[in-house]
Amino acid sequence: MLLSPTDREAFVGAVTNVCEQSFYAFAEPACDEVIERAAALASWYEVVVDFTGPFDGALYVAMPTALARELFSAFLGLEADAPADAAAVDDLVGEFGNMACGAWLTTLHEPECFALQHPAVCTTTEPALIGATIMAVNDQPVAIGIRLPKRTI
Amino acid sequence: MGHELRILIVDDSVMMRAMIKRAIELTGADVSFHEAGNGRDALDVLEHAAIDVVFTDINMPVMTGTELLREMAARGWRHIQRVVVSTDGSDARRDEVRHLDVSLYINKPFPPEAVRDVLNQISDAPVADRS
Repeated sequence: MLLSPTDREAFVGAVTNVCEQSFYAFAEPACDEVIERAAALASWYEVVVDFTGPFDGALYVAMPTALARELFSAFLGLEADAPADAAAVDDLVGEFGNMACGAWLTTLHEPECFALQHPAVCTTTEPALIGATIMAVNDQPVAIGIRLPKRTI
Repeated sequence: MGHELRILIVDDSVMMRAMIKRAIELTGADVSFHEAGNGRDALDVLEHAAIDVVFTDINMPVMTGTELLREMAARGWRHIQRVVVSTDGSDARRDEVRHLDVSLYINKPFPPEAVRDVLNQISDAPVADRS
């Protein structure tokens, strides 16, 4: 389903805020070249964060493996080429999704609390790019989306 | 700060615990750390170790941060300062934990300075910024 322009703007703003504040990364709308590059990349991390509360849904993020490792180093203040344990990168990608989801839900100002489930992280060669919003984070494609099965906002 | 601050960091993300720990270390404060991945493990630590401050996430498996705070209140552990570190910065969540003896709240994502400011409020003297 599609978010309204206002909700989409808030969602992209929340993801941008997470990129900048926790990962010292530059996020912007993706240009055509970045979107085309996304279709050609074969190694991705995916994270899904289910949430329940005033309404139920899930946040989806897909990012290239190389970007995940880059964000890992930035998050911990390490050198860009520092070795990264796979489990630690998984955890970090999950936390990225967790922060993006929580930050977006906070912007909705609902009168009741949401509960976020533990992030589900996996690697894939075929991320769900169709229907997702493509952003450029440090000039690399990141696909983001919100799945709201029972409600349109 | 007059004495070592004994801090328990509760978060299901190992990376987030490391990030909070690093932000605290950057302040130069005299601290020691314990860690837990959920509220249940945190209670185990609190039963066996002397802790001055708990930094806790809210959404965690096994036992949430809210459940941990309720249990701490039920056990009368009012001498332990509670700091919530959560992605959920909504008024609804803040109101909920305010009734559980939580006076300080850090919203994720946060810059390291947010942790320094919280430590300044907890400690008697300002914490130096070595970041």
